[in-house]
Amino acid sequence: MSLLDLLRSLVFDHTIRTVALGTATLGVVSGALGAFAVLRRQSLLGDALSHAALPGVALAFMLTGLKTPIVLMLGAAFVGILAILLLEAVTRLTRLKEDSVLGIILSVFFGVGLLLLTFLQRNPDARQAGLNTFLFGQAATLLTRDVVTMAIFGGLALLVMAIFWKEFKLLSFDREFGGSLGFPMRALDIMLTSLLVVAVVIGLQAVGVVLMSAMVVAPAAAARQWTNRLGVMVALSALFGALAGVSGALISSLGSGLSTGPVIVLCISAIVLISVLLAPNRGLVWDKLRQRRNRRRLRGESVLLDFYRMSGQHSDALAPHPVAALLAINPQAEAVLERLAERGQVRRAAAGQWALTESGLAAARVLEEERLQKETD
Amino acid sequence: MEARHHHGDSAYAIDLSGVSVRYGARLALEDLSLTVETGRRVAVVGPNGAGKSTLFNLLAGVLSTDRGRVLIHGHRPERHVCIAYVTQSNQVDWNFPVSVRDVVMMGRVGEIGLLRRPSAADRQLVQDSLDRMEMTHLAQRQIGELSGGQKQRMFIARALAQQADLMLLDEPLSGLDLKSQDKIFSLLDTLSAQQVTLLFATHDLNLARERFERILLLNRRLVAYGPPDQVLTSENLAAAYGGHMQVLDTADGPVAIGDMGGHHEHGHDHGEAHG
Repeated sequence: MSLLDLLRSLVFDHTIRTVALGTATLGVVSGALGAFAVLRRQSLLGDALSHAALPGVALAFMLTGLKTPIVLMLGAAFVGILAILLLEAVTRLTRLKEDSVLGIILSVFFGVGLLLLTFLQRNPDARQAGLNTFLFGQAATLLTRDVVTMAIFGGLALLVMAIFWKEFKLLSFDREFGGSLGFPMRALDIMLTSLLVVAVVIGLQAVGVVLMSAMVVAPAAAARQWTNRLGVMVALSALFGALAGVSGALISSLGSGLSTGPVIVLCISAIVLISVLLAPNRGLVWDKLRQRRNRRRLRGESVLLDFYRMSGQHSDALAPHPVAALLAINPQAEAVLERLAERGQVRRAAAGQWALTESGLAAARVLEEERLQKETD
Repeated sequence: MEARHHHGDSAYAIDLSGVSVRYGARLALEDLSLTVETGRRVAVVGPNGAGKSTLFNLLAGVLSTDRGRVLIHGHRPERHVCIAYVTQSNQVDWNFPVSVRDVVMMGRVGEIGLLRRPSAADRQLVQDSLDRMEMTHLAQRQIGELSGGQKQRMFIARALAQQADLMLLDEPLSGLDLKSQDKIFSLLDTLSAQQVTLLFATHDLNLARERFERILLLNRRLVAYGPPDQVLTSENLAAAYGGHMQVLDTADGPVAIGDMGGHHEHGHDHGEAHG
């Protein structure tokens, strides 16, 4: 299937369109709210929340016998919030660090969830078939009505985020200051975390509990590379989430039985990789290039300065000098001199003899001045 | 959200009675009673762990008391927007994606209200605060690009943007050179003239003596509060600092010298520079 066919099926194939809309929705919501989680250094929280949702899904099914996504989502959200409250209580009452408590809650809840799933599978009742897809996600099972549910809850979560934008920004940046302004920071904290629960829960069916945390952390991590503004970061993070969701859904539609979760996560990982390497200012590639440029500039400046100081001992600063002395200071000086010559700051007078040019002399004087300035500061 | 109080009818900016704060088993503040009149400029001094930051958190409404009562202009501090708090600046994430102007605008968030965008008046106040701290040229910078002194000035600008009646400054001079320190003091003069009450935590006793009309000497309990010459006596300092502080009686009154917990960066230059 060519790329064009894929895009055509995105528009005309009802199933693929539904699936892509669903994964785009979850990508937008988890991307936007994940940005706050990452900025608040709560990356692990998304992980704990999604793992804690598994027993919620299983319990909701056991109690109601229904497999309707809304019922399972409510179960997941309920147990997710229970996990947060437990986290808060344990952190407050014991001396354990928050990340240790998160790790414990994550594994205990996930373990219980797996146990319940295994128990359900032993049960001869066939209705539980399909609950397993909550482990790694199966976007192909998304129906129009599921996507509508996801869009409503996700939309509400984003609306609340927009309403309390200033307050959430304050909470994430400087909680104490927010408190001194009279804002109820604890309530805001619980509210923002609950929104994260919504973001995680609406993604469970398509991405699965194991990998949903990647959809919380990865889009935000990628978006942070490109901007220094919170609003832009949240928007970019939502966009990256949607992009990964749609492309993951499309790619997994190519092979039958391919879990969507891993494919979507691979897509977002590619976006992260590109961002980490290539983003201007913060990208590793630019960083290396900048470092190289700086090193080269510093080497050039230091040779020019050495040359200037040497020639300063003579009456004619522009007179040629043998470079043997410079080579003694810096064995690579000859190559650096060649580069300076290209910029017209020195010229080769004879074999082994170099001289400053007028512009080189002026540049060296400026450098000398700057250096003196720095020493007196 | 409940109504916030702007101005009380009380003559006192700060009114504490029998206040105690406990962290686990440790008493951070014990039975503190104190009144500070509106518009006073107070230096809060005491050894490390004396409860200076705890007192500020209490006044800012970030922390609540275990016992006793805190009134700011006659009201409880939690819902007060007229308190500006400049904390020690190492507590925020400097990598956070906000600009200097964003942070100063946070000083207005309490007034702007839900769902509203900053008005032209808010933006003007932010601009004025940036101007007063000479930070306009840095306004668009991401905060991690600032130097230590610039970071400190940004937080003071944020406090200015709040137009507060009570300003709490927790060691605001750390990381500032003498020139910037002088600028801060001339700014404080302006604020004092506008009847803003200032509390200023510092380790520098000589600075406290020369630049403040009142000194609050703290060591978990209130050791003394009053004009510098009445507070900085050998007995009081011995009570607050124990053996860690030597007091020299000079013609100008007692001068404190000594180990104040290794937290002290500027030594006694203040005394020479301002004296």
